[in-house]
Amino acid sequence: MTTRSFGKAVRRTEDLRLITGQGSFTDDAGPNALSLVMVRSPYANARVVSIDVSEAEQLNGVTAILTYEDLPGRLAEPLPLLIPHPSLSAPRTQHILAKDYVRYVGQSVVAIFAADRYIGEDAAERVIVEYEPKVAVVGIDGALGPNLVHDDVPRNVAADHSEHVGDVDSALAEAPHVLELDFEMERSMGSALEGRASHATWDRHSRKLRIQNATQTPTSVRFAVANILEIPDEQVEVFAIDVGGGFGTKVIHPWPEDILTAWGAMNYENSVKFTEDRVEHFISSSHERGQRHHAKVGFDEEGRLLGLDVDFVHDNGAYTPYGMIAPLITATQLPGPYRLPNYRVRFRSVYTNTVQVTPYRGAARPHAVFTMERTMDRIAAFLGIDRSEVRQRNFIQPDEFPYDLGMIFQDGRPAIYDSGDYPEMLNKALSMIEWDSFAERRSEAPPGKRRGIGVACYVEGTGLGPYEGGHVRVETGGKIQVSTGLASSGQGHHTVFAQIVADELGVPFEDVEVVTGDTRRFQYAVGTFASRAAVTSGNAVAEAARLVKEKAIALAADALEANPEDLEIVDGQVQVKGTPVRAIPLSQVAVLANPLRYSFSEAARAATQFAGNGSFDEPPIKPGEDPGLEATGWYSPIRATFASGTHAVEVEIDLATSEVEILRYCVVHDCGRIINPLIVEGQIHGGVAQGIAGALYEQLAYDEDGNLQNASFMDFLMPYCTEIPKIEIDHLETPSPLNPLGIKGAGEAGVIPVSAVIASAIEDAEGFEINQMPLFPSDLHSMRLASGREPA
Amino acid sequence: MKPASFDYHRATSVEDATQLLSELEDAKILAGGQSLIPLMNFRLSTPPHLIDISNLPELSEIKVDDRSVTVGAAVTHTTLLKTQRVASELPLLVDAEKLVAHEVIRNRGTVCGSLAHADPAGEMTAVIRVLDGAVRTSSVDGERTIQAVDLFEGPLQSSLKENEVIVEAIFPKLGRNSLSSFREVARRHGDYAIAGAVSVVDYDDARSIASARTAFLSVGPVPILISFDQLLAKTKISDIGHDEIYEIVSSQLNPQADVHASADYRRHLAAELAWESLKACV
Ligand SMILES: Cc1cc2nc3c(=O)[nH]c(=O)nc-3n(C[C@H](O)[C@H](O)[C@H](O)COP(=O)(O)OP(=O)(O)OC[C@H]3O[C@@H](n4cnc5c(N)ncnc54)[C@H](O)[C@@H]3O)c2cc1C
Repeated sequence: MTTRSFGKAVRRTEDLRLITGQGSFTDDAGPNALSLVMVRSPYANARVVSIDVSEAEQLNGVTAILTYEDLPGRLAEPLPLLIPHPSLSAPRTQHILAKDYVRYVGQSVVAIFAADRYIGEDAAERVIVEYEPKVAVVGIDGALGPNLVHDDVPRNVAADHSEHVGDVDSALAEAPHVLELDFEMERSMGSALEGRASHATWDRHSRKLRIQNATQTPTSVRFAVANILEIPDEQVEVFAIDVGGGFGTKVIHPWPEDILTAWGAMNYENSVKFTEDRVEHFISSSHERGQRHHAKVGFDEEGRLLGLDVDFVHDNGAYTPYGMIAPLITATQLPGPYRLPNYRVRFRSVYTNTVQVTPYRGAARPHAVFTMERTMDRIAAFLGIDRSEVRQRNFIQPDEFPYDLGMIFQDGRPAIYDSGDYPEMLNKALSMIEWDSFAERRSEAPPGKRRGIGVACYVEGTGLGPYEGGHVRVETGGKIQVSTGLASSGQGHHTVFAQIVADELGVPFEDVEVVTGDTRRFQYAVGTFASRAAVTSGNAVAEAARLVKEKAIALAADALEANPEDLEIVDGQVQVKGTPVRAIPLSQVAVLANPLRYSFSEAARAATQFAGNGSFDEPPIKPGEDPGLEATGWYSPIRATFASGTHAVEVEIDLATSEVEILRYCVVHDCGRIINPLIVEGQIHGGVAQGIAGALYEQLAYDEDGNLQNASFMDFLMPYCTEIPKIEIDHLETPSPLNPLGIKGAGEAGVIPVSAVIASAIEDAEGFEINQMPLFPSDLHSMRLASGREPA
Repeated sequence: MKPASFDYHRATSVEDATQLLSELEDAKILAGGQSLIPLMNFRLSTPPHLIDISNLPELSEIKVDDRSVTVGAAVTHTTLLKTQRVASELPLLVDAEKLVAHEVIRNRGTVCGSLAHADPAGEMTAVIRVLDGAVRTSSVDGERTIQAVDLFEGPLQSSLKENEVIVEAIFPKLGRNSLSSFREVARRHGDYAIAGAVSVVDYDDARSIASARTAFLSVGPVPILISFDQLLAKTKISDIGHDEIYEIVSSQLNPQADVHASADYRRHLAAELAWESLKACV
């Protein structure tokens, strides 16, 4: 029997290549390409009065300089609104180059095409732009104030959206206890190691525009570029060979630079490349997380939730290319694993003169979980019951699935939890962290230190549609070629898709070669986001492999003169069950699958026209069949599948320095059936690290004029591995009933409850309320002083 | 983030370096480049000429004698950190070097470059201040010695003249009856400190304190020295009171807020670290 690899900790096939410098990232391409360099706005809110490029144009090595006035056709239109929504009453997207106004520091104003980046930056210094600055709208308070980001958007409100289930007003009116709570989270961002990048080549012989792009969604980049340049889709090829992290930012497309590199390549007789630098990544890509929540919760004597009313404000930055997906996710994911019969949520998505906000790993769930979990802790504190007990009393029970939230999820379909076991998950986490004996450890804290413990639970909708597809082909050389349209940005797709195909088809894992995110190989796809790749592409390649298997068995049945029901595929051989001597290798079946006139090898002779195959009563390719041992499979989920998890943490706080040390960090995670525990754990490690970053290290510090004060890794404190503790992981596997493989997404999970759980533990240690994240030692110090709980 | 164009000159000797420095307009010395190159990449500094001294053998020596450890201008942090004689003769240098950045930066960055750069967050600026050390410089006008107290004028501002090169830094050794300790808090491992304190305590023969002082980093425009002689002379280390030290330090420091920390927190931290580092001098 072929050893199954599904569920095994198979080593990532990507790693040797990536860690020995053999990756193929966008900036590795086109060493002689023209460099696209952008002149960006130094003002957060200003009118562009005049632009003088004359001096810059004189510079040796400058090919062309464009301003808005120079943009032809659709290039002069605003970039597309990717996800419209009925509640998004005032969407705004930016132009490729600023038209009359700039609305954040970093917005692109002038495009320079130069022989290299050095010359491009020299030219950028010589471009003279005159601005007439206006008052910048910064932060949520700024957005709610009198100044406007877009003159035609009153109150800066892009969207005002409400949803509810049950009767919240009556529930709150009748509830024995009601608490009103306020929570806030600041901005952060994904900070992928590789910034945005695009390299475009116009092949004038074959009339193809070839684009290597650091994107999470190559097929959509292709359609967008073709549409804006007004050329046939057929002329555009987009591929993302290796992408150095995306975290959501690289779902957004097309960026101004994507279009300009493509257009430049077609017009300047040279390929054109844009490679974003780190400062640009901070000031001109995407941010997330800035939200302020007001919650009103009603509950009974036992701590059971009766009603929850949440009103929050989402700072969407200057533009809304991704619609209102982020706050919509907060709204629908806020109830988490709890039975919440009466829930109302309203949000306003507001403009500020800052970098646009689009989903970043976790995608607005960290705020949702922060609000819900802090609320659960407050209920526990109010009633004097254990924080774990309040949660147990409110969990949706394992026999209540499918559980309909009564709301519409971010995919436009009903939010219905498919499966899970929340009570068991919490129990596992509690025993892992030894919750019950914490009092002892608290009392053992060294002098000058305080210890605290926290727990937080979450539910995450993953694996959204609309669909993904996969293609599997058995080559006559024996290799199995697999392709899927969505791109990989480091997740390990090449490994897990190979595992799935190897098992479904019955071939050795080593024989499977996977290509992702290349429109030349696979034209239809949605993209890598929403923890959806394994669920959607995974099930699609599984389906493709099953179709190939059927076809192989049918062909082999003829060749072996056996009944198809009696055949199986083991280790790449089609054989009669129990009689492995009657076998034919898949590679040979692939030969037979393609009737030949011309032979190319000894093996191929078997498929040539005088080899005596088949009957003369039928054509060589029978009706309804295709040549080649290959198939395309599709998976289109009925709706999202909901993963879940519980994190628990023990912290120790130094009272002199207010530094928070994480003593233990425990994760219990349920992503349905696990394809590869090594990869799931790696995803969790990375996610938790980003969560800790958002909780204790990172912020995007804007001053009142809208300048980002910490746009470098020196001052934006992405933690090093030295700051990340050991992460202990346990799994629970409740298969998803929605897809054949029973899997749920795992990519974002790790990050989601981290702010909530760390806040819970710090609050437990310090004894005063923690209502905001991130929390730096400096903040904690002043909060302790203000609380009057100074160290003795 | 690409530098403006510049000409690169590799000095063949100190004399060559000083000659070039006086001849070329707005030239800058390049040592390890760990501070200068980032500034150039951001185009915050656009020197038309760089004069590289990092390969000069005559600047690559560490000399240890009875009175001091002398570190040549091409000596990297890593070399100082890994030199056995330094560890045994003036362990404070090693304690401090462990807190300077990360290994890859220490492999290139130089000790004298740190001093020339005059970043008040740099560990070596506080060390040379608390030890009352000096740098020796050379220029076409001759040589001179600048005491640490006179070297630092403001953030990233030293009293070096434009045509001067630091040739070596002199760190006086501590006496047999002296102890030192370095404490700092950085947000991430290897980052510039939010605040730091390096203390030296001299004892008399009776194991009473003869003199005690602390230099602070990251809490002012230059490394700041506070003497505790008045408070502590003739007392035992075990008698030092937290609150008195805290009071003296916090009343004398006036740090700035930035995105990482409030001024109050920095002041508080400096006071706590002073206390901890003094107590550790036993
Ligand atoms: C990520 C990062 C983290 C860091 N963290 C720390 C830290 O925690 N603590 C710390 O102390 N430092 C830190 N540094 C700075 C590093 O220690 C210094 O860059 C280095 O020591 C300076 O020496 P250099 O040889 O690199 O100087 P260069 O960068 O070559 O030069 C710096 C300046 O000094 C001048 N100069 C250099 N040598 C001489 C000389 N002999 N005579 C006259 N002028 C001279 C140059 O012209 C330039 O103006 C960090 C640097 C980085 C990049």
